Amino acid sequence: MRYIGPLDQEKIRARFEQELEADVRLVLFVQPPGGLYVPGREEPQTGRQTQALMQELTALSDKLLLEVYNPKVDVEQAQVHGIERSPALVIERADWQGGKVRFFGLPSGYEFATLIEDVVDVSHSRTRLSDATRQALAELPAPVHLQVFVTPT
Amino acid sequence: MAMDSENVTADVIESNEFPSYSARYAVQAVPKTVINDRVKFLGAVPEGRFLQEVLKAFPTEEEAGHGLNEDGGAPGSTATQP
Repeated sequence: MRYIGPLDQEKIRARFEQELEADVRLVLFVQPPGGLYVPGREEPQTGRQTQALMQELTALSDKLLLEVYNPKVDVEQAQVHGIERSPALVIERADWQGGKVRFFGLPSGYEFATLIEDVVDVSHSRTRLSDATRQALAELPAPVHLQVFVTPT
Repeated sequence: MAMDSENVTADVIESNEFPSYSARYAVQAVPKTVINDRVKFLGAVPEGRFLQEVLKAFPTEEEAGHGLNEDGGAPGSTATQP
């Protein structure tokens, strides 16, 4: 089963070819299906779909690199990225100077479009924020953790 | 914002997949934004307003002086006086 249809693949491929500059790493944390069920622990069963979707997406450009980790096994990597739940996706680039951009859960529907925008922005390291906002962000007195809760639409 | 500041971590959370975690923040409608566990608002807002909300997420000097909200309590939350 393919998650990205042929028409969308072509559109995304063309956009990536035109707009991606630096290589972007998509660091994915997923747990293999099955295993021990622990009551109260949230372990969505969307890891396999998320991995398949990311494999399809990263196949659309040589500038996208996919790394896949099991957070229960690759504990050090999970700690580096602050991953406490999965599936989790971190978007970053080699010479990254910014903070972290992370998706938790399967980025489907509108969030898939958001993901593509973020990949493009990270790749050319440009955002659409005003100079005033950038200046304020440069002077933040302490870390900021933004969490945006969404549903697939 | 996370792309413009190393001090910012931006998470998008699919709330249906993490119901207990979402319930912790009383997510009943989306999009719901939570900043440093202190500021919460619903819906999309213009960039300037979003920045104002980010700047509200830090303890005021008075709070910092009294050691309040060190656990990221919500603004206006009751706090034990020293």
